[in-house]
Amino acid sequence: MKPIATDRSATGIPTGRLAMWLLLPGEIVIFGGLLACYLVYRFHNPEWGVESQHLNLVAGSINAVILLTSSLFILLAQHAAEKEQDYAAAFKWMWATVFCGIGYISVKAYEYTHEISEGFTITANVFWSFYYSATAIHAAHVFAGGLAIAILSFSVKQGKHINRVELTGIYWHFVDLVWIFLFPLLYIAG
Amino acid sequence: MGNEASNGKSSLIKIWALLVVLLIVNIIVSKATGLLVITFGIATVMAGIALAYFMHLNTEKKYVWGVLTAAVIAIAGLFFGIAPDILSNEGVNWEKCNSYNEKNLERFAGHSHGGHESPYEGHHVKTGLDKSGSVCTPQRF
Repeated sequence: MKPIATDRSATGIPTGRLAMWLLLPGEIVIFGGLLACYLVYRFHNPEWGVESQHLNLVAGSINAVILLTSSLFILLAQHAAEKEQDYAAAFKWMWATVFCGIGYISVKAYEYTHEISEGFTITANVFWSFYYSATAIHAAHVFAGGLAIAILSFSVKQGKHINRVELTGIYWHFVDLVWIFLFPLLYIAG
Repeated sequence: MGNEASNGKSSLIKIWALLVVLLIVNIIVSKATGLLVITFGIATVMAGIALAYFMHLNTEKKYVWGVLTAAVIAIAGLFFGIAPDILSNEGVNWEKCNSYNEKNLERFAGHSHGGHESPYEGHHVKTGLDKSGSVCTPQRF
């Protein structure tokens, strides 16, 4: 027997997808609140531009491309699973997404190590508090999304829970979308 | 079916390429101008494309837009609710400690040439008095 979220669509869209759409406003408030506060303080403290110059722009750019590419991979996984019924290909694309997530976290860990060794810790000033809070919460979301995709991939390989590829995909795109805002605001706008 | 599938894939790849190009444009333009508004504007365009084509919001039921828009409105309310207070130095019956202390420092420096040495000279100001006479601590963010 399939879970009720798989088939029922009393609201016009499958219940599982609706649940994902209802989860995202909570995430928007978490990251949006952080970004709104950051913008308010950033406008008030032009000297933060100097602080952002200590961030590794190349590493941030690489992470942005990694996340954008991972979004493409999860879409290709969904395409392979739903339209081509090629579950082996879907499995491969899902793991490509997971490896992108691992790559993102690895680059972030390298950045953190470098910044902390330079003395830019979370208590250095409010800019660095924002930076570490926002990026660490975001990295935790990347980890959670990657873990969910990795676990799901084994079911998909057997042709089960195909609809969940789209659900994890929506979550993953949202995580990507957050970085689209975080990256330029923290790293570039000096 | 196969042709349709490959068309779907190629359009996804085109959208991904567009997002990467916009990312590069954002980096270059933001570095050149240093303007937060431009950075935020290009990021918003990228987010719109990702929402519409990656998350398929363009084909989703309209009430899903409403659910997401409600959260964005809440955040906009937060921003525009607190921004005026944070960004202004004074208002009706209030003045920020930093601003107040800076003015007093200038006033004190103006009167300190006649032999009186300013207690603040050579020191970074730690505390001062606000309008009500109570001690306030200037914050440097």
